[in-house]
Amino acid sequence: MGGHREKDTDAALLRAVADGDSTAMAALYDRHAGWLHMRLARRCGDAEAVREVLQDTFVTVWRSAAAHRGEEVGGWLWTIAARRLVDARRAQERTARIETSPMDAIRVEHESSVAAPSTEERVLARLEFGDVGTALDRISPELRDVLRATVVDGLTTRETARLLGIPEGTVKSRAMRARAELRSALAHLSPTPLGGPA
Amino acid sequence: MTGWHAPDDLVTRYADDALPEPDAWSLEKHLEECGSCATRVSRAVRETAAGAVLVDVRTAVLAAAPVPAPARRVSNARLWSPRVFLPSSRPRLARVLWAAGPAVRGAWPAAVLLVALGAVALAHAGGFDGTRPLLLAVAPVVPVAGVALSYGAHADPLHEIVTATPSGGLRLVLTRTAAVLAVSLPLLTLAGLLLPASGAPGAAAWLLPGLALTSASLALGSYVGCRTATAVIAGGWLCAVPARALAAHGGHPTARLAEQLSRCLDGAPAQGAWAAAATLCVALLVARRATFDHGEQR
Amino acid sequence: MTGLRVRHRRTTALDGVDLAFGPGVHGLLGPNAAGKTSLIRVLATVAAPSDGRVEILGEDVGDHRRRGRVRGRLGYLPQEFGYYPGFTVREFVSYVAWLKEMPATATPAAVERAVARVGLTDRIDAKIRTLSGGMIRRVGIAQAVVNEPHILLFDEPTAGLDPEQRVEFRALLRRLGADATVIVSTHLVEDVAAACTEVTLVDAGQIAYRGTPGSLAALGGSEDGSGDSAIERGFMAALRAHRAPSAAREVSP
Repeated sequence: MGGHREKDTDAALLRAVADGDSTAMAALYDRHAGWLHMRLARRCGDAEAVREVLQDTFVTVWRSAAAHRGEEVGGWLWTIAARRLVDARRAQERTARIETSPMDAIRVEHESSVAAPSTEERVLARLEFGDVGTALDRISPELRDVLRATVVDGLTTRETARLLGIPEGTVKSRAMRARAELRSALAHLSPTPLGGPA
Repeated sequence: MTGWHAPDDLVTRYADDALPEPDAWSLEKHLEECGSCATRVSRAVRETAAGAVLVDVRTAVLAAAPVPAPARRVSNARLWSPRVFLPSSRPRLARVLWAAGPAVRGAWPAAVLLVALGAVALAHAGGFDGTRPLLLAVAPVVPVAGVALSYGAHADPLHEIVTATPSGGLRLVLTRTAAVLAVSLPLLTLAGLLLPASGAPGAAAWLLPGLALTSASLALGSYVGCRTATAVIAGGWLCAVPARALAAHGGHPTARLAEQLSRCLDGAPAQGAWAAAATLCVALLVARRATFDHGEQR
Repeated sequence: MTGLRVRHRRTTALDGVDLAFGPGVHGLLGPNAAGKTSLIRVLATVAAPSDGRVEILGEDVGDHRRRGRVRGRLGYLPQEFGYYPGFTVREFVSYVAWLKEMPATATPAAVERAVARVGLTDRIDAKIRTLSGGMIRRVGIAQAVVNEPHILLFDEPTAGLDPEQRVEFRALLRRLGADATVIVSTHLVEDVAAACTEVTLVDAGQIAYRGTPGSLAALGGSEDGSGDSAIERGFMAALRAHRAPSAAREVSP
């Protein structure tokens, strides 16, 4: 918890972190780690991967705090975390491929390697928690994933493709379809009650 | 920021992972730019099951704090532009030294230099005229000692790691031996040329025996390890040539040594025999190359 | 590997071991002198088994040429990590990269990446003799990962690290395990609990137990009050279970 540093601005904290100040890192961590963890967990069903991505994110902050250029610190942190999540996904897929090719690892008779559900399945499972009744719930889950990754999380087409494990062309066509469906769904609905500044 | 802040129930529901997607998205975007809502959501998440993970990661993150150093900002800059690293100074020289291995970096080259300079000084400043036989008697053992100090668990602190690398076998043995020979052959031969002959064989007469003993050490080393092999070979030479000469009777010791050396080194048959021995040992070494793939037990 | 037998000065360190490892972090857990180091050295191709067959990355390492190919994709940190004290971190890691026959043009960047991975970028040009014990261990890890190996072997890597560094090291292990097959020997149960996806219990040269840290903890049952963690109790239970039948065999031939 920030405690006495509550009034310190994020930018000031980052400057201190750049100088290797652990107290500043602790304050920054307490302010942002919780929501980052939840945001990552909503996008990735693998708790261990989430934990690692979170840790990598803040370890990266140690090194790159000096490179922060005045943008909103929360958004900046999320950018790092989202990129790490994409990287972690890619690494996992690589591992999955290695597991299936006997030439690429010490030869194995696996007892405990249960094939992990695909990224998309996991993301879809997460989406089922949402209640129906909003415009977004009217559009198909795979379109929502693309929307979330590109619009909310600010990922590029290529990163989205990696995160979701689908080709880039599919990302583009789904994004287009999602926009169209969203428009038509919104036409049938009253605006959502939540008036965030999003 | 707009002055809008997330109501408490929204914060709680998000932390409990009970918020439908669109509302969650909206809140997530808000958290990117609102520190006070970020603090509230983070606090709420800490109180859920994720709290334990957050504590663990916090410890790990704080443990990863960089060591303060004046050069840190420079190294940060380098980290972020991986193409712009400082070129490693003297890469070629470094590579040569690496190839040479431990012996050529340690006390051995100093010892070689001492033998060479000592012999020359003794002959010219001390007026002692039996230095060439002495040098010739010791010279073949010098590269063998260099090999002993170059390779194996006893000589190289890195031996265990080296062995697990693709170049760790015979290839490294040979590069390091080559470095040892490159230092000792010219230096000792040159020193020999500067000494009065005093009945001993030519200054270059030890070269083939030196090569033969070195390759014999390596070949034997493939059976018993480099340290034992070099001790046996060097000891064998010292017993067979200088020690026997000194133990014999009649005449001046250096004269006896010169005579003994002439028997061993002079003439085409002697040199031919050494050349054959060297060739044989090298052939054996190549045949047994795979044995250098495995590390020596300490 | 099949039917692995390793002799070590007339005593048999490993006896008839059959094992297979896939990607992930594998803990080799066991009491001291259980045969963990012998196993790691065989996997590192440093020691040859007196019997049995070892296949790594699809290659039989009993063959001289194939062994060379495997070694280029190996990373190994021995228990007693020797180094040249006069080398800087950069020189040392570059030297190992050279031994691993990495292309000269790729080496400088790979060295910096490996050193950054263990968090020693600030000290990259410091002489190794000026570093603390924990930092030297990290140099050891950097040399092991410099060639981005497919197989990583660490022998008691957490020995000599303080608790904080241990936490950090386990996190690094987990990251490495995402891409590679990482095999870590340790006598510390908590290393396995915190970092490993799979655990192999070695006792008296034999495999006493294989499973996940979770299943090992489950063996420990839920008896409370001993003050040990579930996984420690599971470790003791598995050891007892392994020793009991062999003791019985010796009694009744």
